[in-house]
Amino acid sequence: MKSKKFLALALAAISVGTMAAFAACGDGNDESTGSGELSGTVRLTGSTSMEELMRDIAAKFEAIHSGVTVSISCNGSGTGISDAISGGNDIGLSSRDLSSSEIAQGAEAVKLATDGIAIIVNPSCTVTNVTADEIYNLYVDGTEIQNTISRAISREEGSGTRGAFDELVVNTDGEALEDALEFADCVQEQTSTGNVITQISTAGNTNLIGYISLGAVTDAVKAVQYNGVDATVENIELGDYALSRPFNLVLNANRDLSPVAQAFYDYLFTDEIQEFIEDEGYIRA
Amino acid sequence: MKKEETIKRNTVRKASTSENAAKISFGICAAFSIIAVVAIVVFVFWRSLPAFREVGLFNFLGGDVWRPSWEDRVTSGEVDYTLGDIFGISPMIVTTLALTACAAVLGSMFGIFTAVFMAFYCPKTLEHVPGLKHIPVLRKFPLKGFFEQVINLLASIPSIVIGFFGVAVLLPLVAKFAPGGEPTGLFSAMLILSLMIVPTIASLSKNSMEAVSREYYEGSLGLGNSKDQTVFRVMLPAARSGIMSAIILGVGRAVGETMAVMFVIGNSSNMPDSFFKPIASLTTTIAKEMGYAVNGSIHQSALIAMGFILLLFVLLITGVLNFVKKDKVGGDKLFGGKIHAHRTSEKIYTYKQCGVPQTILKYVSIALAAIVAAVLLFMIVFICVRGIPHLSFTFLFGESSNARVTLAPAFVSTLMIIFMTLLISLPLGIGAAIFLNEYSKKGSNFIKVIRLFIDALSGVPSIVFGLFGKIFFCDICGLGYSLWAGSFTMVLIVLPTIIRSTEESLREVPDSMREASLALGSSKVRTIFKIVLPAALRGIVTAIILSIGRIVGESAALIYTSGTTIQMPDGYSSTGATFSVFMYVFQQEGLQMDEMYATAVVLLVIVIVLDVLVTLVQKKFDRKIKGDGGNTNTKTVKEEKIPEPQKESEPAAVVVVRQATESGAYVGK
Repeated sequence: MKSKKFLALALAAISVGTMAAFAACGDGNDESTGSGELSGTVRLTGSTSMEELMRDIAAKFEAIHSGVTVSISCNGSGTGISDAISGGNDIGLSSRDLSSSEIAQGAEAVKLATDGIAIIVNPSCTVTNVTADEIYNLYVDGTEIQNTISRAISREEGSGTRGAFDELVVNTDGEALEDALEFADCVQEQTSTGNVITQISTAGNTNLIGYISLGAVTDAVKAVQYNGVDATVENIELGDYALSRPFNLVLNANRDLSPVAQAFYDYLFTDEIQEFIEDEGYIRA
Repeated sequence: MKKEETIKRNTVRKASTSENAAKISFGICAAFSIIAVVAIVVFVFWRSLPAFREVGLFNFLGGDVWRPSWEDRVTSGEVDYTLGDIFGISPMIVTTLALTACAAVLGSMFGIFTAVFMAFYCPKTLEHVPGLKHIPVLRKFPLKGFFEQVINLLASIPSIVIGFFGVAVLLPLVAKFAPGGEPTGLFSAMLILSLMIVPTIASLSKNSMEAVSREYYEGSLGLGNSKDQTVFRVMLPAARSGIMSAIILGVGRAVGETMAVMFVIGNSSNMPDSFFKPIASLTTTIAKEMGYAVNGSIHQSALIAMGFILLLFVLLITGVLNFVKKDKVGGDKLFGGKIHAHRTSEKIYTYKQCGVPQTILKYVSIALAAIVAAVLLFMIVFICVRGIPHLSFTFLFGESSNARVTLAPAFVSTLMIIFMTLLISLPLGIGAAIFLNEYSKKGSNFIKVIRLFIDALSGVPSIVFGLFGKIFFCDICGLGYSLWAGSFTMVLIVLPTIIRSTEESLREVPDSMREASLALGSSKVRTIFKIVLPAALRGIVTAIILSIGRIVGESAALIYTSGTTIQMPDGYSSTGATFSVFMYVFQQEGLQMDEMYATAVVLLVIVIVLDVLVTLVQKKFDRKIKGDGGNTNTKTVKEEKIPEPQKESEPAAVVVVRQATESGAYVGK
């Protein structure tokens, strides 16, 4: 009988749904930790700037340990840190240093690499060099740079790239961007490296400036000199190029890593991976 | 008839405990939606209290500086500011209001004229278009059906696809003429948003125009009016209240839209004192910062408080909608009946000689409808051209890993979320609909309250559900980013759709069928399951397909609940990303644009398939009903009934759809 089947199905669905809901509230994440071969999942969340690099490293790790999955979810450094505090991940990814309140809640940072922040413009933009004052004045007061650039892109509050950029861009009066209460009206916010690149690389957007991770610079955009220094790994290592920030792994001081997460963590600091990080255009820890 | 036979075979039964059990369980289902709304409102309010308290209500609502990253500096006394100085949301509130108003004006203009075109001017086939009738291939092309399909499709395109279209096509275009070359801001956001509400307004307005009694049309023509005069001076005013409801529903959608707007609005908390200046609305601010806000911080609480304000907006809109409906139901004489006929016939004398404005309006409506269709077709072609070359078997079905991302996990995650969401929401939704329609006393206050809550639930912006889901399911329940959390959040989102659609089709089942069944001795439960539900199957199937569409298109609520990982999920407690979320992930790094367009193509294909499916289902059931023996079809029965003078209040969409079915029956006769 059709209707009985339907009723049964409906009731079954309700009960299954409820049961499942309760069951799900109970169980945590199940990492099977066999004695021999590593297996399980390592959950990484955090900075979008670190996503590409971590994905490459994860691929290498998975190639060695076939039973391991490294799951990477990137919504920004703030997420990585708050997840590390709440237990939403195994290792957080943060492209900025931790704040005092985050440390107070049990987060601790370990530096994996150093990354530069490149200031980028459209390839057909004539500007080749910008100074800290010019950047500061554009972002805070809306003053045009070299009569060409009148619009700027910032990242959203909480982005690691934004945090480092705001901290490191200091004008000659010693005021950093982060000390400004408000930015000028001409500054828009984009929520990912991809959005910034898309906006700036769009043909005709020659009056627009923005910043992204040095490792993410593509041919679609042009990196300009900052205070007369090229944005290169060498100049960062020499200390000439001022805009650099750490790629941090965020751990929870109150919680031990699972064996498989520990293995991945150790793997990150092997010579092989540190050299790989260097090859990718970053500076090793 | 088969149904009658089954009824005859029934023996008389006593109302038993199972009767009561059934009633109670349906009641529980209905109560669930109340509990859900109350829980969300209370939870959101409770969580926003810290912000109201610490920031101060006046500072919070009136302040114009938004600098959440200073929270630590302020609380530690590093800078000489108070929390009241850095958490001001007045620019976001003003932006939300301004944006909604602009989009509503523009969207209504396009929507209503498109509706006029669809209802009165669109030729059924190309045969009727001058110049095309001699081309044999095109002659039979069903233009009207196709156009309606196009509008429906526009309604179901995922907002992330529209948003990216905005970045890739609209912004460069706007930059060409915008002052200072600034394309982001109110102007672009308004265009994108009105594009998104046009289909809502157009299809509902069309329904209510078609529902206007045929006699008005014929009467007006008979009095010597031109067709254009009749359309714009008689039919349009007569459908006024339905159009009003359509606009309000459109406004509801505009208030809550997040993803598409976020791409083009600029996302800086400035006052919208210019059309071309980066601004941020309440929804976009929540979406861009909810991932960052530390649990328990004032920042998080402030974001939730913004969600609370959005909730208030939605409740207000629901209230206004109910008011408009009351006006419609109670004041039918205002628009219908003798008075109206009198008014029109009077007017005819005054504007008989000047039909020119209406003729112009006719061409305006054709032009605007053409623009809407052209934009949609361009969008589809654009995405296909960019995406199809990058579709490959490996990209679609290959094993996904960090080394090579493929869409295979998206298929699995999407299906898993659809399955679990429907498994939970279907019984709940159908049960609630049965309770509302079969067990409720007409006009009881309790039922009115439930309806109001369901209306409210359906209007809640999905980003608020996302915020609620992240904090409640992920953090408090400890589910973390998981398919569980994603599915539970989606249950809340699709539940109202299912309840409404089911209830609507239950109502279309004529009472005579119920009475016949009961008279033959069937129990009430048996009547419901054997007679009423099968007859209402069309609505239920439509609800399922609509819900699937909603799940496939959702991104804002899922990014922070089910996560953005690209791995294959291995159960409901692991994270998993749906197609829309995959698209979001691909565009995030800016290095995988080809994959992003390819994903957009897959999304479009799914959406088109679902749309066609809805049409087919409805056609199939319509035919079944019609083929079921001449005059006994539900519509005719309905039509023969004496209209009840005091109809209870019902959702506007239902009113509109009901009118549509009723008039459809009339015309068909």
